[in-house]
Amino acid sequence: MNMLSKIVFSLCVALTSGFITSPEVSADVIKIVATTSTFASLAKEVTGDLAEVDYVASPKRNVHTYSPTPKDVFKVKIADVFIHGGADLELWKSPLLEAAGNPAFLGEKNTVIHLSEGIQMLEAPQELTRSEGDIHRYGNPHYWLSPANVHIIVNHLAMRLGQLYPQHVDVFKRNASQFQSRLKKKEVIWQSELSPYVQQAIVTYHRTWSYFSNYFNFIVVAEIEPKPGIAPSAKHLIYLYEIMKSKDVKVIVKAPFYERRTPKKVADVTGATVVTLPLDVGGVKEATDFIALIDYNVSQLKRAFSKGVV
Amino acid sequence: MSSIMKGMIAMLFALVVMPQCLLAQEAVAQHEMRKQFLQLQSTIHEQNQLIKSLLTRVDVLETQMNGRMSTISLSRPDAAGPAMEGLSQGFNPEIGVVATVQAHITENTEDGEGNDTIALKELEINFAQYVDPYSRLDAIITLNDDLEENLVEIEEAYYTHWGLPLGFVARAGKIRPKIGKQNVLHLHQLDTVDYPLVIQDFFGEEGLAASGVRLQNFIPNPWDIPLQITGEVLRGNNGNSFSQISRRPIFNSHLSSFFELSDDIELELGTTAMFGEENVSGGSQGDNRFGVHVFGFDATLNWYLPEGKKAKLQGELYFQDRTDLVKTNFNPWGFYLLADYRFHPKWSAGVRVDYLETLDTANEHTFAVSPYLTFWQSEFANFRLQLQHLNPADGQPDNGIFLQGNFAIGEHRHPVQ
Repeated sequence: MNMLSKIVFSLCVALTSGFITSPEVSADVIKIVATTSTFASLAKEVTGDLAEVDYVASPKRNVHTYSPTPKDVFKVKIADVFIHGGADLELWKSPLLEAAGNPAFLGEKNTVIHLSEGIQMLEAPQELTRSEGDIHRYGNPHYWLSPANVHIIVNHLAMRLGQLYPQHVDVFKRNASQFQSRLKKKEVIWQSELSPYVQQAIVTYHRTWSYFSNYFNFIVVAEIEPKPGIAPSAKHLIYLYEIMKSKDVKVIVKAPFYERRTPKKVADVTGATVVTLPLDVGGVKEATDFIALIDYNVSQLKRAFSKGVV
Repeated sequence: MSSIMKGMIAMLFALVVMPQCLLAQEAVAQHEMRKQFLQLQSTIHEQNQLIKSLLTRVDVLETQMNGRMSTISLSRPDAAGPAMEGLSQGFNPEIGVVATVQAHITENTEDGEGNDTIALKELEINFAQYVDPYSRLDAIITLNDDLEENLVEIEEAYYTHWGLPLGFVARAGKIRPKIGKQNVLHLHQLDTVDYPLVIQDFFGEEGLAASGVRLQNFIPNPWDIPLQITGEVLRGNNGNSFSQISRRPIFNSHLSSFFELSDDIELELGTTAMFGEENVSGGSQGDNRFGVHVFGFDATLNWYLPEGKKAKLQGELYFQDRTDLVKTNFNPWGFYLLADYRFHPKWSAGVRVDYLETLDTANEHTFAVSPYLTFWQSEFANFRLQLQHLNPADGQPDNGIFLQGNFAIGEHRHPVQ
C-alpha cells in the first residue's frame, strides 16, 4: 500500500467510525447537561418528564478545580442544551465545550444557558490580581446557595427553555411555579428555624457561603483560607484565633471536599464547632434535591448553633 | 299665642320636617356615590385592560431582548464562544506565561547541560483566541536558556475546528500527538520533573511534538461507554524513532475508553498504534517502507478520597517492531508506573518507576526510580523535589536530585485530554 493509499484509508476509517456519532436532537426527550448537580436538579424541576438531565462535576468535588473526564465530553457531545453557572464558576467549561465540539454550544447559540443572568453578584473585585488569590472577576459565583436567587434561576430557566421549546412553555412555567410555591413554604420554615441565630458571626473555609449568609442574616467574619484558593498558613491561624475570640464565633462552616484538620485545630483553640455543609445536590445522601439540600444545611447549622454538635 | 307655644310649634316642625330633608339629602348623596363607584369600577376595568396590554407588550419585548441577550451574553468572557466585546481589547487573545526553573545535582561527572546547575528550563508563552464561531487558534511558544538547544521553540501551535460533518473535531498545526497520557502534556503539567524514560528514548527528551493534522470523535456503542478515537498524520522529521524526513509521515492512532468504577474511582484505558519510517542515510528504504511500528497501552486510575485528597496510579507500556536499517535494537520496549498521592491542600508525593530496553541497546535494560514531593503554594505556583536513581543500560549508575518550580500568570488553560 503506498503512502497516498494509507492516508485515504486512514481518513475513511476515521470518518466511518464517526458516522453515527453526529449529535442528534431527539424529538421527544430534551437532553440537558448542566455543569453542577444543583443546576441539573433545578432544570429537572422545571422540565419534569420532558427532559433527561445530567451533570458534569461531581458534587463531592470542588467545582472550581474539577477536571472534566472523557465521559463528560461524551455527555456534552450528545446534549441539546448546556447549562452553566457563568461568572467563572467553572473555568473548565470552555475546554470542555471545545473538546466535545458540539456545534450547538459553540458560537452564538441559545442552547447555552448561563444562570448568573439577573443575579446581583456579591464581592466583585475592585482589582483583578492573583495577589488576592483565586478570585473571580464577576464576583462570588456561589449564588445558588441563596433560596432568593434560586427563584431567579428557576424563572430564567423556564423562560429560556420556553424560548427553545415553545411547545412546552406552559409546562415549564407551571413546573417552575409549583416548585417556587414549595420553596416559599420551606423558606418560611427555614427562616423561622434559624431566626434565633440571626446576626451570629461565623467563619467559613472558603468564600463560599456569602449568599447563604446574606439570606439567613449571618455575618462571615473570616475564612480559614487567608485568600481564596490559598491554603492556610500558621500566621493566618493566629489571626483567626484572635478574630474568632473577639467576635465570639461559635461555628466554622466547611464543604465536604475541604480538609478537616485545620478547621478542627482552629475549633479546638477557639471553642467553636465545625459543621460540614454540602454545596450541591448529592453532596450528602440526604440532599436529594435543592430543597432537601437547604433543609439539610439548615438542620446541621441549627444543631451546631444550639448544641455545638457537628 | 304665647312665645312658649311658638317655640314648641317650631321644635315640632323641626322634629318632623328636618329628618325628611336629611333623608332626601342622603339619598342624593348615595346616588352620587354609586355613580362615582361605577365610574371608578369602569376606570379600574380600563386600567386592568391597559396593564394587560402592557404586560403582553413587555412579554414580546422580553422575548425579543432575550433573543438579543443570547448574542450579547457572548460578549462576556464567561459565556461560551467568542469574546466579542465590540471594543478593540475584546479581540486581544488570552495571554499566559508559565516559567519552569529547574536545578539538578548529579553524581555524573560529565559537564553536560543540566548537570549541577540551575536553569530556566522553560518559559512557556501561550496565546489563544476564537478565530470565528467555528474555530480557535492556540499558540504555545517556549523559550529556554539551554546552551545546547534552540532558545525559542514552537511547543504547539494549532487551529481547532469543531462542528464538522459527523461530529468530528479537527486540529491542524504543530501538536503534541495523542500518544498515551504523558506525551500530550506540557512540562509544567507533569507530576514529575521529567518525562518518563520510555517517552524520552522513543520520542525525544520532551516527548514528540510534530506538525500534522488530527481528527477526533467518539465511537457509538450500546453500553454508552465513551470510546474516543483519534487519528493523526504527522510530519516525519521529528522523534528519535522515525525518519527525520518531512515527506515521510508518521501515522498515529489512539483509542481510549473511560469507566466509572464507583462514585469515587475512575479508570481510563487507551491504546496507541504508530507507523513511520526509519532514518536511512541516503533516504533509500527499499522494500522497508513504514518499517517502524510502535504500539502502546496506557491506564490511569484516579481515586477521589474525602476532604479533597486524591490518589492516582498511571502506567504506560510501549514496544516497537522495526526494521533493522538504523537502530541496534529491533524490538525496544519499556514502561513506567507512577503513583501520586495528594494528601494535603499544600502537599502531594509520589514515585515513578521506569524500565526500558532502549533503541540502541538490545538485551540490556535501563532502570530508574524517582520519588518526589510537591509543595503547592497555590494553584498557580508549585515547587517539587525529586530524587532519581538511574541505572542505565550503557553507563554507570547515577543518583541525582532535582528541584523544580512552576509559576503561572495570566490566562492559562489546558485542553481536556
